[in-house]
Amino acid sequence: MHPSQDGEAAGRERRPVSRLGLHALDHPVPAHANRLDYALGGLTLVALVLLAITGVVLTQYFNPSPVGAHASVRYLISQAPFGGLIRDVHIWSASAALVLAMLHLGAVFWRRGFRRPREGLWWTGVLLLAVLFGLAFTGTVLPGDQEAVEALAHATAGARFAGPAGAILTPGFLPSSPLTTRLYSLHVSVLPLVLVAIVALHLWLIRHLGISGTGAVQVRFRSHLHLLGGLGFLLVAAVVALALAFPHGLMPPGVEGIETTKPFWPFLWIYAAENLFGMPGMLLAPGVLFGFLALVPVADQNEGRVSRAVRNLGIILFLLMVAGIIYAALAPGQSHLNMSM
Amino acid sequence: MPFVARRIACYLGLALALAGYPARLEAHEGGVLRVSPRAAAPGDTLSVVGEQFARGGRVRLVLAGTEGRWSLLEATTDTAGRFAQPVRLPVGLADGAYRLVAIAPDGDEITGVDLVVAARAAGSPGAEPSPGGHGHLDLPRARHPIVTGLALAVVLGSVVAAIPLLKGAQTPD
Repeated sequence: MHPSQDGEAAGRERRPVSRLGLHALDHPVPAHANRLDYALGGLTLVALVLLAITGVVLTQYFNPSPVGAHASVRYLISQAPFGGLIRDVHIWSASAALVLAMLHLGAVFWRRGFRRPREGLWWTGVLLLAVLFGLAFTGTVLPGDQEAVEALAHATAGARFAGPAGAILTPGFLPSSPLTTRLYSLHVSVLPLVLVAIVALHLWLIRHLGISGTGAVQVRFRSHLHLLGGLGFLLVAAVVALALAFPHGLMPPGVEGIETTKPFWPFLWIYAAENLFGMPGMLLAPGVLFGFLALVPVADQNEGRVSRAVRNLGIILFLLMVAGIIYAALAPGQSHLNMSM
Repeated sequence: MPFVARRIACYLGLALALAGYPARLEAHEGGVLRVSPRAAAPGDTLSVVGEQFARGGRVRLVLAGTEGRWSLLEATTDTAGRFAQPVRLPVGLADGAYRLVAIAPDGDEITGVDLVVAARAAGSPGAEPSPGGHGHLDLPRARHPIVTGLALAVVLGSVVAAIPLLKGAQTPD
């Protein structure tokens, strides 16, 4: 029936909700999607938004040249009125994003939400996790302090070990621009663009495939947004409170040729692998993890022995990662690059 | 020559040309300079280690800044292309960014490292960073009461905003 012939339909069209397309938020989702474990992905997105907002502000203060980086961060912390707080919110948001992403991945893995036809969702999620780790690493090397210099030294050594594949991460790859400046551009432009593109694809797939493959009882998506909104505000409160209570410090300007620090906590499991296996551990640990994650949908499509083995292997790898982080945090520092300690 | 054969010959020629292209064209061998510390005061002594230079060659170390260039030393590399020497910065250097450059005998620049020179000022905050906890600098924080108050307001406001949303999520449609 033509809308002009149906007064009720015409009335609906005049309402702001319809004109703004907000009625699209009324599509049905399973009732069990209104649980915390189904909100972890949305909360990760909230953390990414916090990172983007604080990151844009930080770019106004930060000097990406190798000579000026450390001084600009010192100015940010000690003289810029909101600078230190914004930097602390940025760093705590990064930790929150990584924790929430890992929890979200774990929840989807446990529910076996990677089975046909949701393999694409799983693989885009794994890519997002890799990009998040890339953002965390490139952020770590920016301040030019001792931790940054050592992180860069490890990455350069790993890149040389990887041969031609790692050439782009070596200082001499582009003589016109220092490596740290190139990593800064990766951190503020290339990786965020890649992240946004993959997040868009991930969200589109969720809309296309549904938030869950099972569940008969349906509720409106708006109720899921209420849950996300509430938890999102709690996340903001937690991050700002942590930034106030536990501000991040800055080490002295980095000195090449010595190893006195440990990396940012999300990389401690790789540090542990280096303790055990030397330089190859730096590539082996992430290679094993992401290789396993990439193969999960291929290996586990039906119930059976293989499915149980995949689940058990996933649990073992997760526990090894947590154990590696705890071990590396507590163990005495080790020299991995034959530098003095 | 038939068209197909000409095309194949063209592609073969391109492939041979690319295969024979040198990966990098360099006038000199690569070299790596390690300097410690990277931030120093005029008159300070730096530790300079050079690696991957030409074996048994001579390398001149020059300090380049906006106000001029200072020749610091001339080193001879060993059979592994390595040298290690202390270098003293000139006393009258102005504060600022400098570059320690390794120069080959023919005058070409081989490699360089950035340095910061800053005169020591006793008592000025942040100018002489002293180690704080966990190896961090003991920096004074720019934490104005308004900033702290705003942050606390954000925390409380977020908690207050979360409550009705979470209640709304539990209300059945």
